[in-house]
Amino acid sequence: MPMDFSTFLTQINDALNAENGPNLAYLLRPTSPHGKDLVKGFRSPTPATLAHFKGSIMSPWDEIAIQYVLICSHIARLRPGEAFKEQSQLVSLFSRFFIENRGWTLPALFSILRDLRDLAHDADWHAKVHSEQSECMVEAARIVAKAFSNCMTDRNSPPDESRKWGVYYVVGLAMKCYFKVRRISLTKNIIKVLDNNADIPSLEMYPRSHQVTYRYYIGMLSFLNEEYAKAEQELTLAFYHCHIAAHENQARILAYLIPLRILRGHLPSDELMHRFPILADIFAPFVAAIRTGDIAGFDRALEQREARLIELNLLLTLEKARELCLRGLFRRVWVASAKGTRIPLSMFHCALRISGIKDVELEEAECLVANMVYKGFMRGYISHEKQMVVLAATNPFPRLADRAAPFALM
Amino acid sequence: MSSSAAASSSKPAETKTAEKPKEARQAQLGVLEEDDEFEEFPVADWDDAQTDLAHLGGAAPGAAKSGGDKLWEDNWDDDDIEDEFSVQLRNELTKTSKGGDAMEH
Repeated sequence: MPMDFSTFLTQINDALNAENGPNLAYLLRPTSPHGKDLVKGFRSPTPATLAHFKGSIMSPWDEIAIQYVLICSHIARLRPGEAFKEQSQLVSLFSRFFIENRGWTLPALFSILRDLRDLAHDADWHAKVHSEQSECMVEAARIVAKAFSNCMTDRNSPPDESRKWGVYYVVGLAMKCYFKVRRISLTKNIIKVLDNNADIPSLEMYPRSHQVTYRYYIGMLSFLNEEYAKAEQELTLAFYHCHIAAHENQARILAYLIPLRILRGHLPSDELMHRFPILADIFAPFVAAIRTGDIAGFDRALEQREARLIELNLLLTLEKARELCLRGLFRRVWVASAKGTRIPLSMFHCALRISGIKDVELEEAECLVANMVYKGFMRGYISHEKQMVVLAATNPFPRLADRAAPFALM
Repeated sequence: MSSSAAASSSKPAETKTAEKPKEARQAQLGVLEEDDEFEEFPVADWDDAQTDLAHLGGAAPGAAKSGGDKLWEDNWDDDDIEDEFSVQLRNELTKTSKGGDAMEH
């Protein structure tokens, strides 16, 4: 039987009395079946035609219920911009109730914020298609950030019923908004608030979906700020705690984790590459080139994938990984020289030329070797006078994975 | 304890207006393409068995093969690559060392 408005109000009231957050979330979701019923029941609802329902249940829920009908109506009539505005208003009304209540309300908060973000996306998309300006996602980010504060500032609820159990989920949603509008510097304030509040439970105690999303975004921010050690740490945890069925999210994490681990000297195994063909497509040629010191192959891979790597913000990282490949090439010179300790510079020069790096002068080869030594890829020194590379008797090419601070000189 | 607060087991709302443009978008854009973003998880929480922690057998995540994590290799220097490059390199070495000897004599 189609739901009418008074039944809807009763059900909201019941959910409130039972403190049933998930049910409340369901009732406020525009895609729930009763959304359509209510739209049909009212034909063309407006704030004026619905005004007489004010006072029918406890405030602000009377107004929230009215907003819900308006939102569903706008959606049904393909007006995402209007729907977004009304949803913003719904979130604002909900917040009045939220800050007076405990953590049981969080499922409803998560749900309405998610809908707000989805509507902002649709509204901006709709506007773009019609060549109009629309800044709904920016506005959504602001509203989500406000909701974050409302979670943080819970000082009354007992710890296990605190609204603080919502902070990481809401931050994840805020980050998603900021990334979408490419204003990631705005995430700094939120992160500062989180870092400065010792009284929120540790991240490990939150549901895994919250942990993984949060770590993914922190990892991405660190990556974009070239804080590679932190980025690697966060993305590693994000990957290993991610649900394996969320294959595409795992791929999104690995797209940045793999290059970072390559820089550390940890190459993705064949098994890992097989599980993620889309990543093998990007990284396998680089991995193969590093393994064999095939510098020309590495450069070819860079050239072929340049546009894609730029799009993914990965070009710089892979250019840095070229040094690992060069180290492999120079190591092969050492192997071919029967692992001797004195190898003429001309051999390194020659190796570069054989591998297809044509216009390289001897001086440049010397410079490359010096750089390898300086960065700890090779142990030894250059006798410039004798044009000789003198390598350490033991372990002249330390395993890449053994370097103490692999990102320090990148 | 966090379960009541965190049960976001609901799917992200797909709005009707969203359907058309989103479908059109996904026809041409996939994972890791422009505007792609981290997806909402369909469930809120899960245990180790449903993650890549499961295969680690207690090893630290990302420890690499020498540390018990088969997804990453940390020992891959190969001394026995035999290819055209190796041959050319050795030939060159023979020449160079001969030249060097000649000069020193």
